[in-house]
Amino acid sequence: MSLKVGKYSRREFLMVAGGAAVGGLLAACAPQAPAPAEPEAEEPAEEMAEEPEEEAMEEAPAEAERIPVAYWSAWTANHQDVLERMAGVCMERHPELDVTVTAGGPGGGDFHEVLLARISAGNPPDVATIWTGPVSFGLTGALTPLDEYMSVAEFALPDAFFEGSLQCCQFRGTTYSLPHSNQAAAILYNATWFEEMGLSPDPEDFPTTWDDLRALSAQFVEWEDDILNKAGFIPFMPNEYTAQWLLEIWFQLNGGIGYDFENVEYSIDSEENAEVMEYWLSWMDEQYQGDVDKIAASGNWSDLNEESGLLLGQAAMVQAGQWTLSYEFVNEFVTNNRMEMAKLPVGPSGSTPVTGSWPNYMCVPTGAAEPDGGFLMCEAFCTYGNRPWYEEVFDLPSWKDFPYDVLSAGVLANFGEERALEITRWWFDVREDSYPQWNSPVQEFADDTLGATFDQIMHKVVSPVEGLAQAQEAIQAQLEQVLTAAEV
Amino acid sequence: MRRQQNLMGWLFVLPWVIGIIVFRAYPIIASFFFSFTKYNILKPPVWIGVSNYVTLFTKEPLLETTVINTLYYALISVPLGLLLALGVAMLMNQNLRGIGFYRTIYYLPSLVPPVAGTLLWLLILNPGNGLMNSLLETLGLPRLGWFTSPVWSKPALILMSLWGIGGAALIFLGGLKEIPTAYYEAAEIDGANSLRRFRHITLPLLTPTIFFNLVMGIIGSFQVFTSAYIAGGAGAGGSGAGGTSGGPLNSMLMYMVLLFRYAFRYYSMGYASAMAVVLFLVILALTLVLVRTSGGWVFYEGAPRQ
Repeated sequence: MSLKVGKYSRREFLMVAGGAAVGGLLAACAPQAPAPAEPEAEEPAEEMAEEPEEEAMEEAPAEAERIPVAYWSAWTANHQDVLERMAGVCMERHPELDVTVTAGGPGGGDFHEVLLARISAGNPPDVATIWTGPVSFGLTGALTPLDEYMSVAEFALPDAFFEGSLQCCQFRGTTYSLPHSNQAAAILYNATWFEEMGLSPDPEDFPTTWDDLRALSAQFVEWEDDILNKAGFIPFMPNEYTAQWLLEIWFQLNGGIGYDFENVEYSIDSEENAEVMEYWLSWMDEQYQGDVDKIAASGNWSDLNEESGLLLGQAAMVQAGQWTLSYEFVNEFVTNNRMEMAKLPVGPSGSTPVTGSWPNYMCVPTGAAEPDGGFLMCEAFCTYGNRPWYEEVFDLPSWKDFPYDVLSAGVLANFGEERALEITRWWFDVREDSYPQWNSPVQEFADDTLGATFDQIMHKVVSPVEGLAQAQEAIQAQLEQVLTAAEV
Repeated sequence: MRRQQNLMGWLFVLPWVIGIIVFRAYPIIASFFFSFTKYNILKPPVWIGVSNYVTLFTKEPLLETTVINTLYYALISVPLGLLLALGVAMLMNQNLRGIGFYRTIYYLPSLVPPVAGTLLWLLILNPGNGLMNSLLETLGLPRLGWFTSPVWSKPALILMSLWGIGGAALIFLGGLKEIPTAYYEAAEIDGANSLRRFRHITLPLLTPTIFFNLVMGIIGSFQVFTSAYIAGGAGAGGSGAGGTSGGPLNSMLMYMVLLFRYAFRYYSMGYASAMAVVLFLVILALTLVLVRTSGGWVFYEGAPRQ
């Protein structure tokens, strides 16, 4: 083999190539030089200036004057189009803004992870939609408080939102985000199957107490050895929604409370909450062979998704959020069956219907280059600019002035206009029963701990009293630690 | 001349040195420092001494669970993976027509990104309509809960890990190719059967490769994260923690998943750094034990056996 490359030896060639590579690497790591300033335009001659100056005043701000606002959304790229339309609504009202939408974030990791890293690095987006607790996130210093902005806002005034929705974003008088939407939970049931069973399909006749619901559920349950073929209602499956959302609702339906946001304390181990767990265990023993793993292995019983037992004709009832009604996969089911909705019944120690708050929150990260523009985007998304989103996804608005007669396209397609209107008004009313959630300083820790405890209770590894007491101790201790560290 | 050569040598390795300092050494040293602080990544770290370590060993309720889960996974997946990889390598070491095709398809799964691979296995192991349960049902066996079952979730993770043995198998294949055929010929002449040839020729001469794969396997298994993170979030779990839920009854809550949870869900970077330092020390200790004991069972051709 030749030892020469052209007129150079291989050694010389490699030395030069290595030096060039090092030089390139060092150059790539060097900070970018600022762009040279554009040369100032010469002032036009006076005799020519009159008309062009008048026209220039009426035109939108020139590109160079528009304020760039970077928006990241936790919603993924399949929502890019609707997010850009919403940004367009904002820019119509605020032509000085130039909003760039990044659906799903820039990638490179989990959305909130990347957002946290960018905030700590000092180059976050100017506005973001987050799916994590705004209070726990905000208390770390990650979010800009919005109260001053809200006090002088055009639309996003404090009383422009449902009180419960806004309370999800607040802690001791500080608002860390604006509530874009406030999802609620209720029971969806197969009214056609009810009729076939000789039961009244009408929502007015639906059970309003747990005992009645449990008795109704029993009529549908069918086992084949260890396989659950048909289920009535199963509220106690450990899944992603349980700890974050549903447990608090069921505690409150029984007159208890998990997290008291007004007094900033947890009461997980109350008698009422232990009663909820005991009730569910006895329900599982009575109707579902006392084995949560058998139930899980037999199907999906606790949510409305493509594999939901409700849609497959296996479950008579499920508890779900209203946004699921706008999904395309619901269409086949509602074409062949009548779907009805009912509020969650109250427990033996409860008296008031309650639902929860499954969120989307708009925030301005700390260190945003354009926080003013970021807030204007938050305001647009959560108030006047929400319509494109709502028309695409049936997310209950948090803004009081959002019109009741706008229909979500998915619900319209699945149910037809008349029924879609009924459904929309029904859920808008259910929203009134929402209890504020997501506002604990230790939201994620509490969710994880409570979720694991609930899992242990339903697997009968620990008794409800013991499990809830352990969870209470751990979560309350963590809460006190975080409050001390945050000096609030 | 020698000095110039030294200088040029350093110049050539400079990009690698810069990379290892910036992307390896600095984060390790920084993590070690942060382990002695209360740090949420957004505010300056506050020195708290060994408090994080004390909390980890005395007050962390999930430490025992994560250690047991991780040890369970490591103690089963590593030996099983080595055995299977060796078996596959021996099969791939045949002089058969089309053997290159088989080598390729056995290696391909190890090229699949971990997240994609886990999602694929979630479909295969779906308790309701997954391929595996359909197969079990066809064979008259009971359906299993897999990732929805606290009993079968870790075996499911181990099964998933075995899908990627192609890389280790390829390394074993390289080791097998290094063994001179003359030894086998001589053994055959002396009347040794295949089992004796494997035991007295293949195994001893393959020990350096086994040692390498064992060390890498232990390091990898103790750091198991991606599969547990994805599957733990998808399996039945009471927490709404998505990937960090740990699966049913925390059966898939591995040490690294808990570390990730503290870092990115609870914003306790200092505590997570302490967990990382502890893991580093444990893996270092295990590796040193293996290295020290390797003299008794690893045979390097040409070196006297200790």
